Amino acid sequence: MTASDDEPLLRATDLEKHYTTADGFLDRLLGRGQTVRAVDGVDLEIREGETLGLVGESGCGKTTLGRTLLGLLDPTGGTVTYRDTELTNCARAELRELRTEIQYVFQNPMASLNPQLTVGEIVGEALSVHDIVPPERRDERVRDLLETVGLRAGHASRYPHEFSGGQRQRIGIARALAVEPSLIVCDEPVSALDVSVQAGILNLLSDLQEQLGLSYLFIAHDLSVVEHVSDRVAVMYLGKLVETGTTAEVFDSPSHPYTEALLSAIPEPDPCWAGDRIVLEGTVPSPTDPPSGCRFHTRCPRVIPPAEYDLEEDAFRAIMTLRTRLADADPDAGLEALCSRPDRSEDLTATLREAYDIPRRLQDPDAEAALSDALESAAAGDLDAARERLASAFETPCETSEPALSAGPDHHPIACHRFDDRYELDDAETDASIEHDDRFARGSQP
Amino acid sequence: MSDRRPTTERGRIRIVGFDDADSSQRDSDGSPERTDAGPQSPTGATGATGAAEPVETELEGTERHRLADAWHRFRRNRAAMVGLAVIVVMAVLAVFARPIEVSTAEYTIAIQPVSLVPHDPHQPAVGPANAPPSLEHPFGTDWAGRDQFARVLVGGRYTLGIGLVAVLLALCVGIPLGAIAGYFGGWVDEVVMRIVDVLYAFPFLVLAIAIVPILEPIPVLGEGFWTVVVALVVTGWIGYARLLRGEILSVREREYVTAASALGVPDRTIIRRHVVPNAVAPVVVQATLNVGTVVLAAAALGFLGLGLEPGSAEWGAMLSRGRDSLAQGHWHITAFPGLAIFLFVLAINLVGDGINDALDPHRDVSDDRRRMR
Repeated sequence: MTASDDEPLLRATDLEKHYTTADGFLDRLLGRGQTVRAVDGVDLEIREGETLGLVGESGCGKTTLGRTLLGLLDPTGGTVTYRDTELTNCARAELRELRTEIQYVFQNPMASLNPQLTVGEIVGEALSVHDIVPPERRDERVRDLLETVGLRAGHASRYPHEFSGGQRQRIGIARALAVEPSLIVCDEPVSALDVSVQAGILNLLSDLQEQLGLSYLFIAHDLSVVEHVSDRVAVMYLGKLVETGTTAEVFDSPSHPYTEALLSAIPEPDPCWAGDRIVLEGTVPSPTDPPSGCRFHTRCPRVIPPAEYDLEEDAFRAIMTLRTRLADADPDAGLEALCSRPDRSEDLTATLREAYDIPRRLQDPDAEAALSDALESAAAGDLDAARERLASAFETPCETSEPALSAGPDHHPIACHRFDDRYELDDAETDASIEHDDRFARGSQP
Repeated sequence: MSDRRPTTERGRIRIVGFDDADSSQRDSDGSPERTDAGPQSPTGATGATGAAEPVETELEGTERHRLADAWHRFRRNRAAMVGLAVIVVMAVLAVFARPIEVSTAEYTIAIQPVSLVPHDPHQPAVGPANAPPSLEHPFGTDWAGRDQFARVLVGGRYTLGIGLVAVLLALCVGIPLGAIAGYFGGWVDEVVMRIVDVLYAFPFLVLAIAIVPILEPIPVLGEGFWTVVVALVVTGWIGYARLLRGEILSVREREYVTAASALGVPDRTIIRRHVVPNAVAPVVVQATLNVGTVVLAAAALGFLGLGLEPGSAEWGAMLSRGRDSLAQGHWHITAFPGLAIFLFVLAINLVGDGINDALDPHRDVSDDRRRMR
């Protein structure tokens, strides 16, 4: 709400967190490990009093980003700055002091409370560690906190297993509040809860924000929840942010194709609603070997066709799917890698076109020549040749250059070449394609 | 009446009422007293003073709650209760068999004046040598005419004492080392666990036998009791350290440990409050069961003539001395100390199983034992 231009509360610059799969001395010696780029160059700002929603599908690095921001994980690269303090090169003691400023609410309330301690001990621990309240007033403070989060003061003497999931999440929130933080990272705080309980927790969080002036980083994969609580939204894909902006900007004029696909997946209670879901092709690529250029180009429904051809978006998407499949295919697997039942009797190239929804004849003659050339080699069983032919003929700017998160309108950066001035030609074509394509029903005004 | 045509516009149906007070009625997780309506003060001072007193007593009540629960489960376990009774009886008999006296230069002060048996266990020729059990000497007499009954009862002091002290000291070494190795990992873990591996490479008893002569010249350890204890601690802590480290490897990944470090709790407090209490249950069970093993080992050392001075009324040493008499047909000299060892080890194992069930009803004790091997 207070989108002031002041210094942000927390700022992450080019934050990276890589894991290695190397396990043990021998792996390290032989260099067998692969690097998992869980968070790969994220810039993020959280301002005072605002809620930043962080969305993305499972495994895209949301939790790793949240924990790295807190210093629970050591970043591989980049910096995190809280007000004027840089967390990344803080001494341990300093970092411990900063824990009173930034707190964390966990996803699974069943696992985040120590079963051996009473609720009072769990909430009171922070008070004694940071000496926030003198010892004689701690019990009282714990009871206050419990009441603040909507529990009874008498619950302080009970054990976590005596509570329901929603109540435990309230205890987790009370624990985070105990140190009087100004920023709370909520890691999917409601996704483990029953829907009716979710609303209660969300309302509690927004009440607390009003009373205490908290800022939240709200990590979630449920977009309707994010829409409900967030002032700004950041969309994450495969360790990178693809779009940030105010909730209204992101939700009302979706811009990055990935955001569009995510938004189309929100369930709509209207029985007359006939909007199409955008179903993304394939699975999320492995973060050990992310795609070059724009990481989304292997699945993007609106990947930019090469400038030299005049191709329809659908047709080019189909060709891209075939290319991705070829790239992933085992070279010895033969045609089975491409389509399930290569029928010898028919024209193989036609079968392949059908399997990948490629039109029988492309608009552009040059493109058509290149495609049929590649399909012939594929049909002849030479997948390598087909792959190379396709790769050289249909090279999209999305795979060669990495989009920056600064493109697009002000305050609403989008990491997509469609919003980059250098590809302006394509933008014009995008608008045209949207008008005849009612899948993107909300329309986009880039 | 309504627009039934298909539409692609979202948001025509809106679900409202989340923010109303009545939605809290359906919020099944909130307590009935929850006050959703109206902003609460951040400190929420209302009602805190009024509730203070009952809370205090409630707190007192549930502090014991978990242990009381475990004790309740333990009491329902009949075998464990029998074992406990046997141990208690043996301990009482050992303590009250003969007076315990502390002698200084001038005075002799009796700490425990009760004497259940009339004869001194070390006094020879209180009766005929190798006499079979009679009313005068219920367990008979040994080769020197010493009263066997008194020797078996007083021998319990050594055996029970060695068992308990050795296991407690081994826990004091094993738990901190295992916890540090498991929690911090890295080179600390490597160093501690390699030491454990080296010690594990020796058979338990052989290592103890090797250690006793090394320790014997050390004057501080004195009369043998402490030599045996130290030998058993050196060989005993490795099991606890390895078991606890394994448990901690899984516990330290739990979210409440991450939560504690996110709160800025120092590592040593995390280990003490969050990690060890959640990982220590199998170690406690193992330790209880090990008391039996340690007693057997002490008896074995006594049998081999190591540790305690010859002629002391230790059950293992009595068995050792009784070998010759057994060949002569005097069964009672070895039967009673052997029976005492058997009873005590059986009882401690029953108690160990009972503690295991009481601490965690879902854990399988045989599983723990397998893990130890």
